[in-house]
Order: sequence, then structure tokens, then C-alpha cells
Amino acid sequence: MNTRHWHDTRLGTLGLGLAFPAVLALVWQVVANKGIIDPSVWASPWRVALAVSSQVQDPQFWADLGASLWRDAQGTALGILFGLTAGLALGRSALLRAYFGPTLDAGKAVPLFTWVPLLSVWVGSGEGGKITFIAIAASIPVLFNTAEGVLSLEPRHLELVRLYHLGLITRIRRVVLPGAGPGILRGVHQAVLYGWLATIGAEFLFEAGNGIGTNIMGARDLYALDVVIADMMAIGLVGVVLDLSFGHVERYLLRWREDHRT
Amino acid sequence: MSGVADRQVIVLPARSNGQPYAVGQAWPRRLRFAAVPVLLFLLWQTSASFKLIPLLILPSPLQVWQAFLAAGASGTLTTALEVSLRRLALGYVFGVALGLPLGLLFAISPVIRKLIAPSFWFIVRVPLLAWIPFLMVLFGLGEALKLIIIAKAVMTPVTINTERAIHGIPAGWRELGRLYRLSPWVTLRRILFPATILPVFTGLRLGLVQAWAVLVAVELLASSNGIGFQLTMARQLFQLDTMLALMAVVGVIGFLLDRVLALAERRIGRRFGGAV
Repeated sequence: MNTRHWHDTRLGTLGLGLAFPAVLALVWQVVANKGIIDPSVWASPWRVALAVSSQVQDPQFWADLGASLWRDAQGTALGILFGLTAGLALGRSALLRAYFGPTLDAGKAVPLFTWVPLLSVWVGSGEGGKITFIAIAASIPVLFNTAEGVLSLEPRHLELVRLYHLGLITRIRRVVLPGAGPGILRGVHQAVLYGWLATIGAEFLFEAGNGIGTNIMGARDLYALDVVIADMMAIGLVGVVLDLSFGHVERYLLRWREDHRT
Repeated sequence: MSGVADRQVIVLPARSNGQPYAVGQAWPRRLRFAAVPVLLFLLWQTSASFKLIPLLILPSPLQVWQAFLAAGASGTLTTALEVSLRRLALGYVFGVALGLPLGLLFAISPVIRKLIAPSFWFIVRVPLLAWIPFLMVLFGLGEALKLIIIAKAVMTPVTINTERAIHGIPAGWRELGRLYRLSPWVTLRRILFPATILPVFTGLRLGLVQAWAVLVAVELLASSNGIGFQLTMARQLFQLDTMLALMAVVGVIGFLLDRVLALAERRIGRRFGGAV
């Protein structure tokens, strides 16, 4: 079991990981060059590379990406704020849990996108509807994970609170937040990813405005597959960067916990 | 519906923890969960009765019920549901057929894992919706688009949970099998199956719930039939009563899918609980 294999080296791992997409791209390029598939529909990797470089130089692309990120930030921040408040209340109060828990649990099973038509009528199909939708998407994981985190607080810590008659602020800062921290951060981490997903979804489904989702749909209408792929890569890259950077934040904030020290 | 690895389902405990209640006494304990929905419904009915919100914006419960009956009677609802559920079933089968072997391969062969997993992760990480325009260019608005999207949504949790399940088999169990020189069949049936069934089933459940969510999204966006399309139609015709009725149908189906599988999961957990 413990013998070292050739693929255990860093280079081996990297090489294997790159081999699959590289072969795929190569085959795609060759088949496109030979004219076996229509290169004007199935944009070859080379054309995608050209599209990436032209998008990077296009101010419209950056404006759209910026608009999407700003929309994402607003909606996600609102959602986190709401989810955190509601989650804390739900986690601390058995009464609230008894009344709201089952309804919230059932509501969570309703597919998120079902709300889009309703929101577009009630809140409007413009910026308001989009940001509300993003906020709803982001609030759900925060709410549930926060509530769970608070519920997992150790009874002896809460006893300490009662014993020392700690005030609300001290209680939250010294006991609730550190104890429920991992749950809350897990929720926020998911919220950041959901928020980005919802941003793209909102830009597809609500009235067209600016944003990377509108940009990619415009390219689709022109059947410009190279631009579609370039935009798709940008959207994916933003998701990965958000994920990785929040993972770092999470580890940094939880560095004092024994179980997070690996 | 997302590129997020997996979602936990947390059932908030509804039981009291023995704290004294000031308000809760009036309600029978077990019925307290009904208070919020009933209250919401009463608010809704009040608003409709006194026209606090224009009926065009928030139709009365009766209107929504009638719209539901009308959609059912005219056959639009049943046809749409049939189309959507068939899509769901087909896409789900594809997704599971891809996800289970992939998870298995990832778990047993480090070479294959290193070869494919980075590409798999890239596909997973690009939010599902961002694939839609790409697939629309390649496959148009037809069935293939929807099936691929659903299959991808299903495949993700199934693959991840299958791999995790196999890695999670306690080493002692396998040793036991070797020690007793169990035949491969008995090993599979007595050791591998009970040890992996629960986490694998969790993946299957998450996959189905996500598949339904994604199906609605893709039908809202790019479809000419199915329940999501009917929802868009009702929105465009500004028939909010039909829209709310359809939303309720989508919600109830999502809820039922989740609950039925969660129930089955608990059963499996009780039966094979010792495995984890």
C-alpha cells in the first residue's frame, strides 16, 4: 500500500490532470482543421483563445463583469445579513424553531428558480428583482447553517453565560460567535457561491440589463461559441476564485480551533 | 442546481428543550408547526377580501384554486407535468449511470482519479447555468440540452458521495473479509454494500432534489413545454392566479421528492446504521 508510484510526484499529478483536457483540445483542433466538424459552429480551441484575448481587451466585457460582481456583492451581503439574523434567532429560541422551523424546512425544498416569475411581478424585473433573488439564494445556506451552529453550542458554555450574567453583546461576541463560528462560516461560504450562481441566473431570467450573464446570452444569440466559451470560463474562474479565497478566510478565522488545525 | 459540492439537509429540531413557554401553551405542541402557514393563509385571505393588494398582483386563494382546477381540467397541467417528469426521470438515469461508475473509478484508481478529477472539478465548478448558453449553441433548444443539464446536476453529488462512501469503508471490515477468505460475492454483499449504501443513497437523494430544481430553471429559460415553460407563459400573460398555482405544484413536487427520499434514507440508516 505504501509504495510510491510514479504518479505520486507533483509533476505526475499535474501532468495527468492536464493530459485529459489537452488531448481533448488537440483532437478538437485537429478535427476542426480537417473540416470534419464545422469550425464556424464548433469553435476550435484556437478560436476560443483568440476570443479570450479579444474579450480581455474589450472594455464592454470588463464593464459587464464589474456590473455582475457589484450586483452579486449587494445581493449576497443582504442575504447574509438576513440569514445571519434569522439563523441566530432561530438557533437560540426553541419557540421560534417550533413555529418557523417546519415551514422554513418545507420552503427550502421549493426550487429556488420557481420564485423568479413571482419576484419579477412583485419586485420588478429590473435591478430590484435581481438583487432580491440573489439575496434569497444567499440567505438560505446562512440561515440553516447558522441555526445549526448556534444549536451546537455547548451547554456548559451557555451555563457560563448565565452564571456570569453576561450582556447581550458580550454573550454574542465571546460565546455565540466563537462556538457557532464554523457553522456560520460554512453557511457564508456556501452563500458566496450560491450568490454568484444566482447572479448569473438572475441575469438570464430577469429583464436584460448589463452584466456577464447578458453578455454571454448576447453571444449565444449570435451563435458565437468562442465568445460563449470565453465568458463561461470567466464565470467559472470567478466562482473558483471566490471559493478558494473564502476557504482561506475561513481557515484564517478558525485558526484557533483545535479541529481546524491540520 | 449548482456547482457547489453538496448541500446538507438540516431538519431543525422542533421539540422544545424543556424551557418554559409563555405563549406556546395555547397550541397543542404537535400542531405548532401549522401556526405559521395558517397565519400566512389568513393574511392572504384578508388581503384578498379587503383588496389591500390589487387582485391582479395577489389573487385570492379561491382564484388560485380555480386556476389550478382549470389548468388541470384543460390538460395543460397534466401534459406539462408529464413532459417535465419524463425529462427528470431520463436525465436522472443518465446522471446516475455516469456518476456511480465515475465515483467508483475515482475511489479505486488513483491514476484515473488524477487523470479525470481535475477536469471533473472544472466542470462542476463552472456554475450550472453558465453551461446553458454553451449547450444551447451546440444542441439548440431541444431535449438534449435539458437532459445534459439534468444529468450534470445529478452526476455531481452522486460521484462525490460514491467516492466518499468507498473511501469511508472501515479498514477493519475489509480485513475481516480477507481474514475469513470471503468470496468476492459475499464480500460485496456482506461488507461493501452495507458499508456504502447510506452515503451513496445520500448522493442519490441530493441528485434528485437538485435535478428537479435545475429542470425548472432550464425550462424557465429555454423550453417550449413543461411546467417551467407554463410558468413563464402565465407570467407573460400576467395570469398570477395560474402562476401561483403552478408554483405550488412545483414546490409540492420538490418537497415530496425530498421527503420521500429522506424517509427512505432514514430507513436505510436504521437498517445499515452500524456501517457509518
